[in-house]
Amino acid sequence: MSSIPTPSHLSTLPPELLTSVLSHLFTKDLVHASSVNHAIHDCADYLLRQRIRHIPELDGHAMVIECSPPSNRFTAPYHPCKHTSTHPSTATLTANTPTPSLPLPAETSPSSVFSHFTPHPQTRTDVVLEAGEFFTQLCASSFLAKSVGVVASVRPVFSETFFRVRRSWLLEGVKCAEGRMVWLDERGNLGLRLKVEGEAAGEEEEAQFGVVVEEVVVRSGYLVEVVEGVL
Amino acid sequence: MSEIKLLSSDQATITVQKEVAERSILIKNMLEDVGEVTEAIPIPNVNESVLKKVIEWCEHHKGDPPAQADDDSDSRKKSTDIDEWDQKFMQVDQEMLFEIILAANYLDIKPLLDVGCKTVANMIKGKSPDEIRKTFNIQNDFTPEEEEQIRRENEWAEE
Repeated sequence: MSSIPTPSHLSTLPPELLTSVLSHLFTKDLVHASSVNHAIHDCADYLLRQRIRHIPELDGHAMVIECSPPSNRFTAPYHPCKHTSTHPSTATLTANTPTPSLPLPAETSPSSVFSHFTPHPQTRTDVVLEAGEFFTQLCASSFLAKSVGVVASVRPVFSETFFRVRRSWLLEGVKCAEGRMVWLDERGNLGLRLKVEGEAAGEEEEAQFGVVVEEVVVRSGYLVEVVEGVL
Repeated sequence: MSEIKLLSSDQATITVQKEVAERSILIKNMLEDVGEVTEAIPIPNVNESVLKKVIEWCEHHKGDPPAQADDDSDSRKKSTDIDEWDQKFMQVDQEMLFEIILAANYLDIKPLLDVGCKTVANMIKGKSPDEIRKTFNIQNDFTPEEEEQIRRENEWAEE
């Protein structure tokens, strides 16, 4: 492709053809292309919305999660998760938020949409803080899996991700009726909604809590990339 | 083997095997509607050089099985694999590449349109927005505010 034409042939393609071109891109490249100019942005935005609409299918995969203290991480069981909603918030979709989750409303940016998954069963992980300990660590892994003939297709959503839970956070959690978000990455793409059970204990005493993963919350655009298997 | 004539936008008459021309669904339907034609069929949107190039592709692919129906506009098969012959065929300047895409769309030759779109997608793949602008000579038409908003929206996908 030696010659550079004037004006650009790409951005003057009719939108349906520009969309056809962009549809061959993986989401990562699609997002990069979206900041080139208005014409490409609009088509890329449309395609990302389309891909997010297909999230509940996970391309035939099932999501599983494991969350445990680091010492148990090799033996802790994985639990299957069910897609509950994809909507523009990290908050759980409740009866009070009757917005149908898909398709996305036009005013919603696809980048602000999160997909919510609930583990079944919701199991309790015991967390013990020795007297004087201010925090402890948990380890979580989640992946998408499906069998393709005799071969399994496994795509990690996040693997062996360690995160800290502070004593003060646990103590506050005991008082909360609903679970609270913990982010597993700096970009805010991957989160867990954790419910804390247990009894209030003094700062210096040994304390035991139960942590329950109520939801796995993943930024939908990021999850599309996981499903594509290019991460 | 019956032949038909096509008349390009710049008034060139090109004789082509009917079977080859019928890779174009537009021409195929037209021939089915009108039956036998002796006059050249006008193709008003495509000039001679592009039409010859498109016919070259149709000749090479005349025996191909019919394309599978696509059930989804974003087919989710984001493969950009292109057959070796097609790759060589598409080694043309950008002007011709986009002319082929427009002609394939007008003439309704889906597999050729696909190859054209994949070729352009491959030129976008792995490039930064600036590199894409440079490759295709695209003007950045965002205001600084819009650019900042898009940067924030896309932050989640950065390396």
